[in-house]
Amino acid sequence: MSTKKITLLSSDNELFTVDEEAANQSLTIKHLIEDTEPENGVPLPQVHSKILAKVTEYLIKHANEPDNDAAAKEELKNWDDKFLEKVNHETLFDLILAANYLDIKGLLDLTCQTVADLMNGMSVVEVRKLFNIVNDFTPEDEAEVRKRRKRGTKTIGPSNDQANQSNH
Amino acid sequence: MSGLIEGLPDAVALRCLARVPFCYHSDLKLVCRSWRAAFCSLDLFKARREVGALEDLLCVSAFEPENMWQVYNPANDLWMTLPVLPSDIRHLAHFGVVSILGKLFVLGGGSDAVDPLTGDNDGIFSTDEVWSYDPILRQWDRRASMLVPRAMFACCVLDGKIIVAGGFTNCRKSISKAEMYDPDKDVWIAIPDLHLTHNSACSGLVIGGKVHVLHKGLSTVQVLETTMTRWAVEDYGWLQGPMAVVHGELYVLSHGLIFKQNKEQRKKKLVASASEFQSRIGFGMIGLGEELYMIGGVIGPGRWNMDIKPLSDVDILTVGGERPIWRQVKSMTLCHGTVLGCTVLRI
Repeated sequence: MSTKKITLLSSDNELFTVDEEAANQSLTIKHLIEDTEPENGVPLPQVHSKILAKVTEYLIKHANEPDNDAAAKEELKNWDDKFLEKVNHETLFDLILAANYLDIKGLLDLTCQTVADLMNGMSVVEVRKLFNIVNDFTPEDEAEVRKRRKRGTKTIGPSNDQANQSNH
Repeated sequence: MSGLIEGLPDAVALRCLARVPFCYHSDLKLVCRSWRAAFCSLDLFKARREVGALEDLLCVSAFEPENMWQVYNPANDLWMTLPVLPSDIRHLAHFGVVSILGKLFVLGGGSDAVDPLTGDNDGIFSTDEVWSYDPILRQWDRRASMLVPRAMFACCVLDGKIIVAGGFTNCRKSISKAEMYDPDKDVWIAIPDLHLTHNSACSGLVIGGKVHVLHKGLSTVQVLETTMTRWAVEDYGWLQGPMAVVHGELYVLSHGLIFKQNKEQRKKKLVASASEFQSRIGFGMIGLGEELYMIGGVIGPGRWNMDIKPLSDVDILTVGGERPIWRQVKSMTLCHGTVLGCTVLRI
């Protein structure tokens, strides 16, 4: 196992040091190191220190993922849940953008799943509010949808059988 | 499809939407236009496959109502109903059914309709029709017809292709012909004939990556060799009875008992009692996840009752764990009676 240290430089010029093993989970960082071997830290101009702190916390925790140890996996999963528990909406999106830019599959999966889970059991109106989405359907569109739902057989969704209890 | 979620690139937003369970999709289509487009797109299916969010749904068609398919989602214990299969054939039965690339395929079969006045059969014994259902576009489409009309035949998916073999043609004669369908090209091609035909219904199973064709009443099994150049005739001494594959293992219901049947040796292991099913006929039996599903069917006339009682029950045996346990989930909401076909749709 390598113990070589990698220094990361955030957009606001803060330095973060992690083991190479941890840093390599980010394919972007991995390629940057391979290509240039930067002396004053790997510059990450798209990531603010506030987010990079979270990202490095994740990278360090996930540096040596357990293969077959069920208990260790469970522990890591609980850690993941806690990791994003108190994160606000804005930070969550910033983490997604950072994970996407840095190409950290595990973190991107985790954060995207968290966004998907937010919507579980929400009404259409609540989802719009959550993501600040404007309802751009015309009254005609909505009438059409309502008509379809009444007719029943047109939809595959839960609408037929646990019908129209939802959303308006 | 653009501007799905403010602050996220569409490609990333799509990865988020891809992880939303399928049961919420129809509601989320109502959020706005771009979401509706996203949830109706093939990109979403691809993204679901990429992020490992595909879900297994159970598709079932029963004798009543005619040409009706219902879909069960184990994640929320909910039955959904598809638009009626738009075939001209009344009471389509004895068809083949598989799912491939997120679509449901219903192939061949014939009419089970009987004229209530004359008692005559509808006359269409077998067809070459192939239908596919796209759950994203919510519509049935005609696909290229099979080379040969057939009913009661073996039908399997192997390496992204549909393989059909045997069955009966229009003249009520059993056939040995086999063919293969490429869903990307929408083309059927002939593959080598079965070695044996038998005057009985055929069924197909994929075990160990190979297509196995069984004839009712025959102990021999015909296995398509991976080179697709010929069928090998084997006799594994398998028990006769309804069969299903769960997690690559073959399960057989025989004399009210469920056995795990070893693939090639003449070994079997008793898994659980299923005495309830001794009085039931025409039920569907299929594996989904770690579980064995027993669906619908009828309770036939017995010594004490002369009625035929159609069922819509769904019983599940968990075979994955240490101790198999029976449980019942939500019954089909519309379909009931003899199960004409069932398959697992991965979406």
